[in-house]
Amino acid sequence: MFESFLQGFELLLRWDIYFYISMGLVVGMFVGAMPGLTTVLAMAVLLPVSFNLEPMLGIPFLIGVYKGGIYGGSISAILVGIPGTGASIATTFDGPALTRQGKARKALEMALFSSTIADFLSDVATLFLIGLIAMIILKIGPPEIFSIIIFSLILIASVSSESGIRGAIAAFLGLGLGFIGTDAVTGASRMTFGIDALSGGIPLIPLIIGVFALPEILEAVESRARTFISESVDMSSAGERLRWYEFRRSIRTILRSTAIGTGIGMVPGVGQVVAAFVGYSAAKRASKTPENFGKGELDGIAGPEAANNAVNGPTLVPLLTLGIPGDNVTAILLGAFVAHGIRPGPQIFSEQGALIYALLLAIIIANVLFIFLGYVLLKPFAKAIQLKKAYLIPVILALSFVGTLSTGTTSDLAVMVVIGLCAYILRKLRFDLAPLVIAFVLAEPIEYTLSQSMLYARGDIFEYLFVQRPIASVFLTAGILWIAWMIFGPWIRGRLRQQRA
Amino acid sequence: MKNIRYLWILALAAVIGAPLPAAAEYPDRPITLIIPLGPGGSHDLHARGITGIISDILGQPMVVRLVPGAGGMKGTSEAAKAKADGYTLLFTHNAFDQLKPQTVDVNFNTLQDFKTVARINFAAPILVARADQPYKTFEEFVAYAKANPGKVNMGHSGVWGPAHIPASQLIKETGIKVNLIPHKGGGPALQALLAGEDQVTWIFATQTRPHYLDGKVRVLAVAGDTPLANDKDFKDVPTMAALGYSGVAFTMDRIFMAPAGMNDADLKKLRDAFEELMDHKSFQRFITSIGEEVMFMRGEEYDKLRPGRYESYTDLIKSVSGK
Amino acid sequence: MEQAPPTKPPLVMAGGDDAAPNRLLAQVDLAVAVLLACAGLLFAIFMPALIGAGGIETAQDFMTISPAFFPRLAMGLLALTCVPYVLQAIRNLARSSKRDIGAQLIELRRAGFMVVIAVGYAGTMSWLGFLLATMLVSAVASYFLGLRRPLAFVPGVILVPIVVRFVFERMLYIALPRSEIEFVAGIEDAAMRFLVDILL
Repeated sequence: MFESFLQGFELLLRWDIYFYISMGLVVGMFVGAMPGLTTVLAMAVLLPVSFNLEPMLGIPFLIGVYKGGIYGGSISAILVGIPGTGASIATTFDGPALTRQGKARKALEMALFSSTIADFLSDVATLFLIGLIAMIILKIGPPEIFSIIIFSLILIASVSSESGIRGAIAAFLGLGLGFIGTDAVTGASRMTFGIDALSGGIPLIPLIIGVFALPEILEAVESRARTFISESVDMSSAGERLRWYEFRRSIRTILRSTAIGTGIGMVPGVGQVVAAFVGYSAAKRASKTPENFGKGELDGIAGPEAANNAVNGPTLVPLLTLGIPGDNVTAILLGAFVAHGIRPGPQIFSEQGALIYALLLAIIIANVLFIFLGYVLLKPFAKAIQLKKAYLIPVILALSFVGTLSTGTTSDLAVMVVIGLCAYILRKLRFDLAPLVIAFVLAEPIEYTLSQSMLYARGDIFEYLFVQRPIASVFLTAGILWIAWMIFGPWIRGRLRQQRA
Repeated sequence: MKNIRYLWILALAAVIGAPLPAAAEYPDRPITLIIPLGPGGSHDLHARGITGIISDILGQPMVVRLVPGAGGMKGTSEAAKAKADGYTLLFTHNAFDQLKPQTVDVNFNTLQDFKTVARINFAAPILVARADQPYKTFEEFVAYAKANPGKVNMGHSGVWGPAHIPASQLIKETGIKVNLIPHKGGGPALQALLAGEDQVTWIFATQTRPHYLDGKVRVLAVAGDTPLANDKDFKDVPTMAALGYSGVAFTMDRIFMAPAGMNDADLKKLRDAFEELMDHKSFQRFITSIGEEVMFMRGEEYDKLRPGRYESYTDLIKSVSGK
Repeated sequence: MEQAPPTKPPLVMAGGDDAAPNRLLAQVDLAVAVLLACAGLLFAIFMPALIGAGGIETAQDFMTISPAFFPRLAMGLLALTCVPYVLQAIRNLARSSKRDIGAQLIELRRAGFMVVIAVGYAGTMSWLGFLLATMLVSAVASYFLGLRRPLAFVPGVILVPIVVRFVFERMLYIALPRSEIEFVAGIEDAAMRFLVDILL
């Protein structure tokens, strides 16, 4: 085993690997920054390119695209308030505020550093603890996923309590939207009203574009023409760089989010979107100045950004150790492996140990490369956004539509526009739409895992839960206790104070 | 206005610059290949190898377009509604073609709106059990399931998917009662099996092989009537037909479809091109490298099979959904 | 260091601590509240009717959740949480004042125009094809956003759609809609072929 590890090092001593990784990072950043274009799409499109390259070049290339893409999504989230991917939604809470305060550069750099550091740590952990992680993953089944999702939701809800009623309404609305389409357990179609466009449910990208991009465009259009032409995201006042002391304040958040992200990465079906939200909420909870969150707090960038990147490491584990892809990204990577005749699985470490270790090491190094590349490319990317709105808005509009069209039909466009219109109205009415998106994303997993758990339980749910699945019961009990504390806590504390007085 | 003039100049240049064909010969521009599945699956993989070579044969690129959703019906519907000029094709499988449209309301008629171009190959699902289970053969499994109704967890990759169908056929034929657990795809189903949550599942040979070699799973049977003769690990696995359950016959045919209104000459050209593709050495090498085989059937022959299959699935659906 | 352009006070639903809310918005607020509450209620009650074809009965006797359960729960909770919302909206309406909203109406009109553009874009996309639809929409939007010099139109309105289409269709192999009008489609193909010949 150790030999393979050393042999892996040898395979890395070629400059062309780093060239391809860098290319992937740049392409990924570019694609991720466009609203509506997902990194999955970019990877799927570039997959054939990787076929012509040997595995040692092609696979790090694709992974570079992926990593670059996550960060690209953050760029547009911070600069124009439009998340490029689902994982960057939580970055829109503080990112645009920081940009408005002239601190765009600080925000971008914080995002870059938190992302790469968290990704680095998570990848290192994956490399050294791959056996342990594989074991843990096999222990996580539907009941565990269900309870972890519920627990995460409670955490997120406990932190966004000041959205109050409107937040809850948005969440239930999102839940309802999430159930439109085909029920995966029985195959029945729900709430589609016979409209073809809805028969598969509302796809995530049109939803994100509708909820975030279109209202941004509409709001940007509101102000008068005269001041408008000269209005642009002024990068010259993007501010100074991130100062060390500012970064140091967030180190704990980054580490905490890394742990959160790595943990969530081991839970199949949860993913980066949830990790980002949980990272943000945890950061807010632990912060000494929670009231600044949402108004331009750098910690509010570090929290989600670190978490959503830390997910990357563990998601590779089922792929490498079992040959099972956990999501679209790993499915594409599996395709890249298979096309070269390599089938990941239990034997891969004995048969192709050196290659796998080399790949894992290359992934770790990619993070380091990314810090430098990202730092250098920040300014040009941001400058590209600095165009007059009269140019920028039509381009963003066109790209949003193209993004939806690339994996959908023209009827998806209609869905997107309708959602956008409603989102715009709701925003005017002071609704915070982030709960809507996260409820939407989690609607199906919650129902699905609950149904599966009930099937496994064969009707006797309590015995199943507490006897056979202790991990799940731990999370659920913790969640229930938390809710109880949230509701009754103040009352209990008040009583205690009275007694003492 | 100047900008309009620019537009005309550009258009004029484009029209002059491009060679104007006298009679447009099919194909004279890229062909879109719709795959009604998500990225990274076996169809995507096959398509990558196929499109590269067939583009050379036809002279125009074939471009993959992934349209997942609605259990495969979204992409299928898009292909059905596309112009029948031969520039939009569909790469799908028989469950999406002959079975799924019967279970949900779709805006196309699958038998009438599509003609088969070719069948590339098929994959036969195999019944796989954990090695730690007390049954070692298929008969033992059936006996065990009959003695312990509802105790065995049989996972599948999704309702009306290529694992659910043989599972339903099996239940119908043997009358056993198992706990059918849905999963979101073949990957999670395999993972549940390996984790011990499921005891048996239907899956494909390529994904199973590493775990079989690792000693974690046993292969009990293969659906259909064709044994996996060329498979070095699974060539002795009994077929369902040989075991006496010929009703458990679902195999996943990977088929290329074209809209039915396409003109016959172009369709023939397409069909011939695919037949030519099968003889290409690089194609054969590609298919072998991804662990599959080439099992070609011409479109016309496959079209003869479709109505019969369609009806057999109607019965199956009735028995499972009780409607 | 220059200041970033000051953000204008957004046209939002002022409530609670602010001055008396805007009457028009308060009315819209109430309308939306009632709408959501009713929708939630109706959906919750009639959910089974919305469950369409295709469902299978699970092949065993164990209790599972019917497809209607969760949506019903979600819609029911929606209706429930809308009740305090409706009350809040009524209170806001009572407190609202008919402030001068002239300027804000103009803002809304501008947004409304943009909505029309977006809807038009979505609607004409398949008919006009990607190139023509995008060019028209970009032209209208740019003009609307203040662009007047004809030369400035060329890059954004004419070149960008062509470049985007080229990159997507011929380099990334992602198809974008072709026009249903044969003449326009012919020009699109010719333009693409031209670029392919000189660049690829």
